[in-house]
Amino acid sequence: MTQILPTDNKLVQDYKFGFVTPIDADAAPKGLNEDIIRLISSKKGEPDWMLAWRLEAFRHWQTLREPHWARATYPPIDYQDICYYSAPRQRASATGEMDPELAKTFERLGVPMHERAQLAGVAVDAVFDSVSVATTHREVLKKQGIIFCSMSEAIREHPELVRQYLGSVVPPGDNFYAALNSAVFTDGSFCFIPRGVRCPLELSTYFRINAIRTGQFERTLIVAEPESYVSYIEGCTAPARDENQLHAAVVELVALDDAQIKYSTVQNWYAGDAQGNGGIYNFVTKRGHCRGRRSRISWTQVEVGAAITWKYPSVILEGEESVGEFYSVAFTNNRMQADTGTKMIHRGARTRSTIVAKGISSGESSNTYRGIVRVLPRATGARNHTQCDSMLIGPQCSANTFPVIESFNASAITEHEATTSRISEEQLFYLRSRGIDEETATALIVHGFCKEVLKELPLEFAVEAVKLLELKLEHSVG
Amino acid sequence: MVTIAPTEIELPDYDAQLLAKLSAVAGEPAAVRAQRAAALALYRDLPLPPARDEEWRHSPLSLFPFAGVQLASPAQLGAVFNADPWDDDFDVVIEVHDDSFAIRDQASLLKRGALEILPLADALARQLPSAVAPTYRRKFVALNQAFWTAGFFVRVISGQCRLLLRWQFTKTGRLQLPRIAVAVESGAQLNLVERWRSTNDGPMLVIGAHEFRVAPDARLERVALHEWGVTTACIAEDAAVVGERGRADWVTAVLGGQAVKLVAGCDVAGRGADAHLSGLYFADGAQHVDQRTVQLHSSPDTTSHLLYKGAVQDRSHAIYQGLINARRGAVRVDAFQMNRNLVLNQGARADSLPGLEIDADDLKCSHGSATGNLDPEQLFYLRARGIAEDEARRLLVAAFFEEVIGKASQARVQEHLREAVRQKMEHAP
Repeated sequence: MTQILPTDNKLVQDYKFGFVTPIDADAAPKGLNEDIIRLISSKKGEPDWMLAWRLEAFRHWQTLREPHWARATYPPIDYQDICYYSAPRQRASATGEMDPELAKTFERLGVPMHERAQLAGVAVDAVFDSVSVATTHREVLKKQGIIFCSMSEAIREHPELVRQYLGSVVPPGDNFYAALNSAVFTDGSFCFIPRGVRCPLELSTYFRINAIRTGQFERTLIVAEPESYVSYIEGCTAPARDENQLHAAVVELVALDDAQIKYSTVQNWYAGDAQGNGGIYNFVTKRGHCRGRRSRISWTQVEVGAAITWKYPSVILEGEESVGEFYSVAFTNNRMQADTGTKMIHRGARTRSTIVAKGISSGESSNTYRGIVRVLPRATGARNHTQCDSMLIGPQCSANTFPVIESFNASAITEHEATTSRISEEQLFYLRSRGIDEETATALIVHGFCKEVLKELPLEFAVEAVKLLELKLEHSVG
Repeated sequence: MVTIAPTEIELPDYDAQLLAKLSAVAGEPAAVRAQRAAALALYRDLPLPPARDEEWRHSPLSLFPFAGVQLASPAQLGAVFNADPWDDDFDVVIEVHDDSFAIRDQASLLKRGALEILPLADALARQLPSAVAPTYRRKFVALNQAFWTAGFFVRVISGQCRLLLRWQFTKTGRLQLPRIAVAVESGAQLNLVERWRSTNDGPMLVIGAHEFRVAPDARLERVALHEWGVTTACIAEDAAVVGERGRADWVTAVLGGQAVKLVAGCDVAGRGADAHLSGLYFADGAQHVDQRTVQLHSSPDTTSHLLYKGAVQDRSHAIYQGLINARRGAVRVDAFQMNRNLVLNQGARADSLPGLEIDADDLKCSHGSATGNLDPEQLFYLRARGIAEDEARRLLVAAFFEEVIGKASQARVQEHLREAVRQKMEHAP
């Protein structure tokens, strides 16, 4: 039986994903050292090269210092007080059916684990704590040569592909959290779309943190071969707890000639209560590499959860005429702290990038856009347009915008616009005078404010995102 | 990828002994020595900005010739005043020529008591409340406040005053530390034009610090023209506090210098205060121009408007960093910031870092930034009308800067800036 945590806290009640699934878990002891990494590697039956890769990352991580330049304050993280591996013992029955307890969990989270007719459009990889528990629709995909499986499986079944691409976009020593992830990553999804294939389904991964004092370190790698297309969706939730939990993921995207990857995220980790107790630290490195000509990578994110967000999905525009896009809505309330944005690195000629970032802050939260647009000398004719808007709801919140625009090329054009203002009194008055209550009116205005980003999401996902935003807004007004 | 290697440089030991020598030469009273000593203690306490510091990462300290310069001798009242055609347009002229200065009161404002100008040591010795600067915890401001070699206190008591401040440094191998404290009293108006010039003969380093206090209903217009020689480097910080209904208009033009790093910070501190910050910069050769602006809104009902426009050619590098900061409770604020850059040839570089830091809700703050080359369509339009390409480019660049040039109220300044832009375009590759 799953049960909702007994609590009087209004917000925790509202976070309907805040329940814990009581399962029998196979967990590693707390702490981080080479033995733990060896344990993780052996649990997953990994080849030697993978273990060597992890250990090298770990040794490098030990030389790095935790970054503190983001607009966030939090007590020091004790990396020895975290459990780096926790997996449900019972994942599937002998007949291949998902464990009923896990199935119930994902059912409650609204994740379609059964390959039902009405949801045939989405293939799901479900990650529960440290492991992938099921991946749906694999047969349909296999027919077209698409590989969609958990990272652990990919390491075993497709080592040549993993070795070729893993760490090629985010090297193990890229930054503190990426190095940590490279050392201890447990699961995540691997997608490979062969040449000329348009993936017939939306691929999706759902990340669920369940165990207490456990960090989630997933690793996702998507490779789109020439002239292929894939749309990938990521969702995540965690139980409501008074302590902070660390989530440090790495996502790598590789798009070859004329390939297109569309990556959408609705991030709804538990954000802590109104006093700022508990919640997930979401320290994530996401980067795409437009390696081929005319390739295209598009990031769309709706960030409504996590106590602290530190996330900069980026695109390296290498191939000529490649395109990078970043669409983001970041909503913060209570004591949430979000420091998020993007990096667009133009290396190839006639590369283009678009950035649309919308920040909404309320309560006592802090919401920061931070980004880099860098045009390197060879990026002749590169073009960037950036639009950052911030909306403030209430007098106690902050909104910051810190863009960096560096141009090394005389023919490049970069444009940046940003505004910060309060939710419009006039618009509120207009709606209220038509009999719409303040909460609904605020939701409508916020929806309009975010429309440019929301329309980039796959349809069903967009509906979900709008609902989430409305839910989050309910206690932000008045 | 182009990266600047982090440089750990060591600054010469600016210590109490050196300071004692300076004060002895200037014959300063104990009160001034004490203030210098306090600033020195702060300077020694503050760390050097690390190479990866956001504010300094584009301008490593190795660009500035600390090792090659000796502290200049303090400026003393000199006998000679070298007249200049610009003088005709001003009421009062201060001329600083290396270590001597002269003041000419052309409209008898000093005599009539509408204006007060004191050597800074005299003002500090008398503890004039409006002369004592707030102590910013900034490394190079502290260095300036400890070792300033030429300093003036200017107070406009009533009416309008047009003041020209001409700085001319010719002695190479010197570290000059000019410091100015300006107070514009309630209802008064100051139009200050500062020309900064130096020769091209050898390394020179200037570290300046200016403070402006604009009282309620007062008005300050300040034009700073950085026309340094090609072997001069400059680090300077300007800070202004504008009182209720006061207004500050700044025009900063950076045309010369090998490496120039400026900070212009304006606190619109009283209700109804208004600040207009404008900047023009044109870098060529191997020039490095780094400018940072801060529009600080510490009070409600305040406005600020910023426009910085720059061009880079040859191998030059310009950096603009801007920040609008609205403090908690600073409601009904309207702040705007615009930075535009022209990259005129491959190899030149322009970076733009506009920033917003907003802690209040009932306000409107926005910024914009655009970087690119001249619009090919506009060039084509002009060429189709028989205008040669070089001339068309000159016209477009002139037009680009006209918006900023118009912010300076004096025709002589405007014409001077137009000519400076024209001359830069003459050297276009």
